Amino acid sequence: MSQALSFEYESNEAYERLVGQEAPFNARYELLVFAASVGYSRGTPAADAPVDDPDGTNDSRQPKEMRWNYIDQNPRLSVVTASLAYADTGEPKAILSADQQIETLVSYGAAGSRIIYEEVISSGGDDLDSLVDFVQEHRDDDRVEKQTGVLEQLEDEISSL
Amino acid sequence: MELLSLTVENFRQFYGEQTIEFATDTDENITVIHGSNGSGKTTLLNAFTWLFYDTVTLPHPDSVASERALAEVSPGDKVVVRGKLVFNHEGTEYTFGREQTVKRDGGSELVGTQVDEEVTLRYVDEYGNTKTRSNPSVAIKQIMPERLREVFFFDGETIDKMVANDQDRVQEAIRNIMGLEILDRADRHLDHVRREFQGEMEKHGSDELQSLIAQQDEIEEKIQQKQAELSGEKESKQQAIKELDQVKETLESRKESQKLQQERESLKSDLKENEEAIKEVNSEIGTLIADGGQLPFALPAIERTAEMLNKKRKSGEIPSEIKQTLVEDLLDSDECICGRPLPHGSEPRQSVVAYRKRAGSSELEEMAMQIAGRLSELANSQESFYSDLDEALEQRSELTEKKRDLQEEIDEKSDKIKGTGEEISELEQRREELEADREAYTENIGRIQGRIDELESDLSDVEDQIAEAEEENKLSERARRRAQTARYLRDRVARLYAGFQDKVRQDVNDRVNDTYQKILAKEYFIEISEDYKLEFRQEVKGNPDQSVAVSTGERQVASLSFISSLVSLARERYRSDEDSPYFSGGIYPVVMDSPFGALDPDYQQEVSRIVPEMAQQVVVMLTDAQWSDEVAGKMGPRAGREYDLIYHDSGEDGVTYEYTEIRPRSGVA
Repeated sequence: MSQALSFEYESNEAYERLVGQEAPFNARYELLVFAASVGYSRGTPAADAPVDDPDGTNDSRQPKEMRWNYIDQNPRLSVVTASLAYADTGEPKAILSADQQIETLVSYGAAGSRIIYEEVISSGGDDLDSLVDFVQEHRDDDRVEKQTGVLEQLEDEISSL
Repeated sequence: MELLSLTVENFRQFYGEQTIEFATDTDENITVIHGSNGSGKTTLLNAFTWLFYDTVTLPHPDSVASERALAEVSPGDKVVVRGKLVFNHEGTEYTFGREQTVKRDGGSELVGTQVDEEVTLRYVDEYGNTKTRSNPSVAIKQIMPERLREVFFFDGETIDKMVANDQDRVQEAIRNIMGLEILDRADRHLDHVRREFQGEMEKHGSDELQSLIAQQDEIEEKIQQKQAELSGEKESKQQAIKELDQVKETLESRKESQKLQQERESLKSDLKENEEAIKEVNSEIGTLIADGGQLPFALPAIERTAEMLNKKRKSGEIPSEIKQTLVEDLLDSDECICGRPLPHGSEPRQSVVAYRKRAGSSELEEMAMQIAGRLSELANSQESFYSDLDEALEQRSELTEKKRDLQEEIDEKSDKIKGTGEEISELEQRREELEADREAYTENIGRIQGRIDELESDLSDVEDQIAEAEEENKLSERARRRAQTARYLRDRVARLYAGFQDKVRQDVNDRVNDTYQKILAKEYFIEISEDYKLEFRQEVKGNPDQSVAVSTGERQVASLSFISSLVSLARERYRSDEDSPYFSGGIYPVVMDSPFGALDPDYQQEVSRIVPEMAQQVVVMLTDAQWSDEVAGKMGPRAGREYDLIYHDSGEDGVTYEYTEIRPRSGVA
């Protein structure tokens, strides 16, 4: 995959508030993957949504550029991104296609960042506390336990290759 | 005397006209005035003494006018300072007023000079007509004698000094409450008569007698001079002691303030550390979310991908026995792995091309391994994400709670520190000066007393010689006898006075013990000795005279018990049918500033039990800290009126000059 590959994604106020030295996320790519995961989880890709803000929403959305290698070279985030791309397309090859993964990332990322803006930033109060609440709302300890068992088993099976 | 209302206008920090109505009900006889330190409680206490006797025991006693009122007029213009007390006395309602007109001085400082004063005492007669007493200052002192000032208007924080080995004050207080004006007058009159007869005796007597009488006069005059000198020195010593006590207390409070400041700084440092720790935990929480927050949302996708890869593994698609790159390399080189040529269109080439479809992607395989290798780590990360988050949130919650506690402690210390005074070094210097003064006065008193003793001894010798002198002259003899009689009567009056005083001392002694033991519940008892020392004793192994050391708080309780005893005795005498020309008693209110000054909470509770009984009417001034739940529980039901002193600092918005507002406490009649 190309080291110099860049792509455009939809940024909004959530990035301004949640990324920075004193903010929860240190880098924009971390928030983009988080947002894409949220967007996927909610099943609301925003592939057709315009990046600019013609609807007059007040989340200050605007296009920004990001280098792909920040994500691609991160062991964990690259697995997350590849998985999102496969889950989105159903195409096994998507896990090898940077273009496909970027498309999925941008689409779900835009949807997720709008959700985060609405549910975290606009809720008022401290951003970190709202973000914690947001993550906690998605908590399901039973699911986590079950998922852990399944994934460990899959790892064992696939690793026997 | 029963206080009905007090109105002050522009008196010190009480800007404008403000009124307090006093509780008068028998069951609710306490008026409670709440005020923080510096809000004006002591000034209010001084408003009484200013009104009654034109005496103020505050710094800058001549400046009675409100700074704010002075600021509102131009230099040269006048401000009126008023005080008005409405009270009942022996069935008649009186209104006593003092009005001082103060002209603002030139210059930027807010000071004024008194240019006029009017004192009035009006009363309503039996027909409902308002009348005016012609000599109000004298009349008010007959109703509320100035000698009783210390007994009825006192500052609780310094009251312990009353019994701190100061027999003069104890004796003075007993004498004052007794009100022995008749005996005082008799003493003065008999002395005058004796002198007249002696003059006659001298006129008609022999040279020797005349010389002896002249000597006697001379010695008596010297004794009088020395006694006046002694009295002046004692007064100066008392003043020095009083100021010394105040300086020591201020010094203590400044030292306490310094200690509090150090404690506050230490708390602030703890708070800073705590805030840093909260920041760190917040940063940790942020990192946790940035690193693993996506997992709960993304894991279903990862699971789906892993299942897809596992399916490919099961179908044999990965790992493939033949690699796509190998097939491509063979076709590119037109040669099979076995060495046979693979020309285009040949059958062997077609066979190799057919492997292309069956060959697996090495990239897919690599990706599959990459994903598979992280599955359990990701799953566990999701689990630990929540447990780590819980832990961090718990830690933050503890730190936040600690932060709140620290903030509260800092606020509490800040409240206590409020109100600064002079610099410690200046106070230390003043303390040293006053201690030196006190020593000097003590020495002078000893020296003068020694001289008086010598003179009295000389006088006694001369009197003996006069008595022995043979006197033939009838006129002289008659004058001598009369002078002797006058001397004898004066001596009798003095004995009567002392005897009566002693009776009151014993009476007070019993009462004071009763009250004291009720409060302290200790085995101590108080004895007002024959020389009027208030001593603390304890019965140890059958010895009832074991003297014990007591704390400031215990001395304060003793002072309050002592005052309570004097007031109750005066009230009892007043109501008694027994006729006594010397001690008729009276009913007086008690006005106390901070009566719980140095008391522990337990003592406060006990003292608050006796406060309502101290006098028919009690006015107490307290800080909110002193008005604890325990004190409020005891005194609250007896409080007929409650007021708050609301202090407005010059630093507040829109407030240029400090002032205090008197406001009825809400919810209290």
